[in-house]
Parts: sequence; C-alpha cells; structure tokens
Amino acid sequence: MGKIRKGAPYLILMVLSLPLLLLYAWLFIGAFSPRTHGLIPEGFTLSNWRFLFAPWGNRPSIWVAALNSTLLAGGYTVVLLLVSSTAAYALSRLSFRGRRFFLMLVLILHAFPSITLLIAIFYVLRALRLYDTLIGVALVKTALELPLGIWVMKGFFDNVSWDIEMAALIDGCSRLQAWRRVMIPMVRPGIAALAVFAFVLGWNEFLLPYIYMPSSRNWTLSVFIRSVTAGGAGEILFVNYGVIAAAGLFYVLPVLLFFLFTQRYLLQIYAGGVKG
Amino acid sequence: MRVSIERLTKRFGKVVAVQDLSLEIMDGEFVALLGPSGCGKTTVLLTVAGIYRPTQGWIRFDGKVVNDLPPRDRNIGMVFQSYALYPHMTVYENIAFPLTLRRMPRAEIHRRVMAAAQLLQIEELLDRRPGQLSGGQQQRVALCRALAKEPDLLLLDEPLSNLDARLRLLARAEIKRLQKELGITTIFVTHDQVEAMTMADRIAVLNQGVLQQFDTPEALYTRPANLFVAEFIGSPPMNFLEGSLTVHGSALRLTGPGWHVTLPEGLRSCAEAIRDRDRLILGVRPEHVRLASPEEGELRAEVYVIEPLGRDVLVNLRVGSLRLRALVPPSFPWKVGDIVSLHFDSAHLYLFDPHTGVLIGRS
Repeated sequence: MGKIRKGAPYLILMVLSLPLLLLYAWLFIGAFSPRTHGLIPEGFTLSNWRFLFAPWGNRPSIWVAALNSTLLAGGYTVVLLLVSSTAAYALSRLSFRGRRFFLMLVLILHAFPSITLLIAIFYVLRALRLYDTLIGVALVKTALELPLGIWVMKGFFDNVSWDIEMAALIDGCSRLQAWRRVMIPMVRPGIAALAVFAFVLGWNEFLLPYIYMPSSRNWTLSVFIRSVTAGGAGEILFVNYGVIAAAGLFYVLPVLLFFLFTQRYLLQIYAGGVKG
Repeated sequence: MRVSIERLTKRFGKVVAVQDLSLEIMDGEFVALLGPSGCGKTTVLLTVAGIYRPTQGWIRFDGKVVNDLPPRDRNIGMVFQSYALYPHMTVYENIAFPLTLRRMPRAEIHRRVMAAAQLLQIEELLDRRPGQLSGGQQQRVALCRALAKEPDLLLLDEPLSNLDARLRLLARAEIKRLQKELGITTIFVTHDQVEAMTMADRIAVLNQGVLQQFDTPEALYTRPANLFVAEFIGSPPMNFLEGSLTVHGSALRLTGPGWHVTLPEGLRSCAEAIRDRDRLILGVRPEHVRLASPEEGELRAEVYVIEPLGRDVLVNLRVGSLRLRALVPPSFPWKVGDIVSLHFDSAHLYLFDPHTGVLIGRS
C-alpha cells in the first residue's frame, strides 16, 4: 500500500508531462534525421544544421538572429532590474503620497492584456524614432514586465527587517548607501531570480520583435524560426520539418542550459522568500 | 555625554506613541526605559537615535539640540533586539562596517575591531557569518559592532530577550560590567523589570507613552509613585486591597466584602487627611505578608495554590473574591484548603487613590 501511495504522485506527474516530453523527443530526433514517421527517424543526418554555416534562403545568418535575441533579452533584463529594484525599494520602504494608489495601479497594469496596446505602442515608438530598433523593443518589453518585476522585488525588500536598515543608518550610511551596501546584497537572491526569469522571458519573446522590428537584420531567433515555418519571401512554400526542428533545438538549447544552472534562483520567485 | 529629552511627543498619524516625556540622563549613566510592550519605549530610543523625528519637543546631546541631526552624525552605537547583523558580511566586516563608512585608515580599523573583539571574547568568530553563530554569539557581535565605533551613546533595544534564561543572566552581568568599565552613557529598553532593576542606575517607567516615574531601582521599589509602578516593579507583584474607610473607636479600618484590615498608626495620619475620599486601595508586597494560625488575626484567608520557589514558597490566598499572594519561608505547616490569618508588615504598607492611582501615603 505504502509503495503505491508514494509512487502515485510520480505516476500522475509522468502521465501529465508525457506530451511535453514527447515534443522535446520529437524536436531532438527530428533535428538529426532527414525525415521522421512520428517519433521513428529515417536515418541520421547533420544536413538540417546547414543554416549554422550558410544563410538559409535569403534570410540573415542565424548567428545575427542569436545575437539580436541575446541583446534584446540582456538589455531588457538590465533595465528591468535597475528600474524595479529602485522602484520596489521606494514602494517598500518610503512613505509618500499616492503610494497605495501606485501599488494598485501597478497591479492593475500587470493584469492588463498588453496585446490591446499594440497599435498605441506602434505610434509611440514611431514618434520616438525607435520603431524597428532593438532598443525600442527592449524598452517596450521592459515597460510591460515592470509591474511583475516591481512586485517581485517589493516582496523581497519587504522581507528585509527594518532593524537591518536602521542599523545601517545608525552605523553611518546615508539612505542611498544603506540601499546599495546593505539592502541590495540582502535581496540578491531576488535579483538573481528576477534576472533569470526576465532573461528567459526576453529570449522567448516573439510578438514584440515580430511586430516592431520588421527588418530582417533585426530578427530575433523566434522571428527567424517563424520565417522557417512560413517560408521566406520568394520561396516556394515547402516546409522542411528537419530544419525547423534543428533551428528550434538551437533556439531552446541556451534556455535549457540556463535553466539547469539557475533553477534554484528561479524557484525563489515562486517560493517568494529570502532565506537568511 | 549628557542626553536631555525635553517635553518629547511623538505621534504616528493619530496614534500618540510618546507624550510629553522629559528625561535628563547624566554623562556615563545607565538608564533603563521600562514598560509593557507598546508603551512607547522603543519609539523613545529610535527618536534619540535619530530614526524618528520628534513631533514636538527636543532631544539634546550635551545641551545641543539634535532634532534634525541624521542618525549617522550622532555617533551612536545601537544593539537591536534582532541584533540586525548584516548577513552578507563576515563578523569582522560587520564590526568594521561603521568604521569603513567613516573612511578610517585600514590599520586603525583593524586595531579597533581586534580590540573590541577581544573585549567581548569573539576573536575566534571573526571569519564566520552571522548565520553560523548562536544567539548568544550574535548578541556579542552586535554589542561589539556598537562598541567598536567608540560611541558617545549606547542604545540597547531589548538585547537580552532573544537569549535563553541562563545566557541572559550571564549577559546581564557582562553588559553592566562593560558599561561601568567604559563609562558610556547608555539607554536600555526592556519590558523585564528584573533586567531593569539589576542593570540600571535609574529606571524610567513608561505606560501608554506617559512617564510614570524616573528614579533609582530602590526608590521605585520602596516609593512607587502610583499603582502602575507598584504593580510593575517587584516580582511577584504587589497585592492590592480596595475597600472603604470606616471608623471603629479610635481605629481606622479598611473594609471590603467579607474582610477588614485595621490600618496601622503609620498610615492613620494620611488616611485621615483624605477621609472624605471614602474608598482607598491598600498595597502590600507578598514578601511583607506573614501567615499565622486563623485565630491570631482579623484577616482570614484560604490557602488556594502553593508554588515552591526553592528559597521561598509563593502562597496564593483567597479572601472572599480577592486573590492575594504571600512569599513565605519554605518551612510552613499549611496545605491547600487550610484557613490562615494574614499579617501585614506595618512598616511596608501603601495607600493609593483608586481614581487616579496616585500614591497617597506609605507607612
């Protein structure tokens, strides 16, 4: 009885995650074979990976797209961390007029479906001459994810006891020094968690770069892969699943590796606590 | 350094945390702020530290008003109840942190950290992080960090309450010795009257933000200003008997439902002076209550609970609806349910006004 009871959760989890695992299995198998019948490969080939060395059709090199993805995810992560760690500190620690209102507003903004803003954002970007630039998209992505970032960071700041901050002030810190030398090191797990989370989110972003960066020199990996599935301009619509699988694997691999090394930070966002 | 708190009021929104408080703390003095939780004692401490700004009134250091001086310019050492050690720094870095912020030369910092660490006997902990220390060690590190600054004023916010009973006893003596040795003016916040009594030169008793009495431990014990102080100081607390004043021949009696006590000579004059007030509260400490066989006295009680304390026995007694406590030698012959008579030491009785709580007189 005991064994069955212990094993049951694993069994349920396995059944539930089976579809996902099958998808990854197909991705892996498909990337290294000319054709697949379901999950059964038809021989082994590396030809699906040609795009690593030569441009695929009239698309830009995948390395350019990879660089763009890295720049977008990295830039967005840095700005998000800077803004949310300062804003969250202020919201957690300082009392000012409209603080509660602001907190509620941030929460509402987080719940707001950002897709409804697409056209408005287009006009804003064009007015700022940031349309079709990486910076523009990174800023839009930052703005849309700031509510989450602020709330996550605020949670971490809230968990630092007032005593510690008071001690820093009495020990000779200015407010800014206390923030930089005592508070920030204490919420480092939160910063790490948010950084990992944000980078993955930025790496996976498809809609914003697809809409606001039409030039192929600005393509990110997600847009690049879409172009493989849809066929590029002037191509006969012949979908090569092997190449899609290979490009997909290329796209997902950094994220998987990243996850592997940083999952313990990521867990803290969901657990939502600072461990002393 | 001399610290003067003058007519200090601190409000948080509509809540009055401290009201019209004045204290004069001498150079090198060890003063305890004593009161139940929420009485405003920590607010006073944080206002002196400069974390809070007074709503009204002044804080003076050596006569100079410091109301607007930021905490970092006050040269204060503070130990928090939670110790507030910086978890991301080693013990050495924790102690050195205030000194680094003053841009002190490295050699001087090292000298001071080592000296302070030696004073508190924590030299072997310097490489550890706060998370690896026991509560007692953390408390020492916190004290060390405060002392390494060579502060003009030491503020201690319940530094002993997170220690276990045995360690607390040790730390109590240790802090008192250090304070006397270094001669630093010290303000100590506590809710434990034993801590305050044993450590402080003078104690300020606070209740609901209002100062009740500011005096030496002996004076608080022998001359409590009001019911609150009388009950708060001394363990177990003082017994109170509320009754009305009646005249029987030449004697004055305090009479309650089912009991009466003849007031001794020493209290008669002050009781007579306020005879029109009719109702009075008689106070007597458990250590000044003697038990005898029931036929010997006028006030009879039933033994209710017996609590042996080792050196003494604390006897809980029932007189009608009243509960009284007596601290008696362990060699006493009664058991639960027995009737005894109570005798109050006529040299240690107090009379309080039941309306204002103020001490009217004592024998």
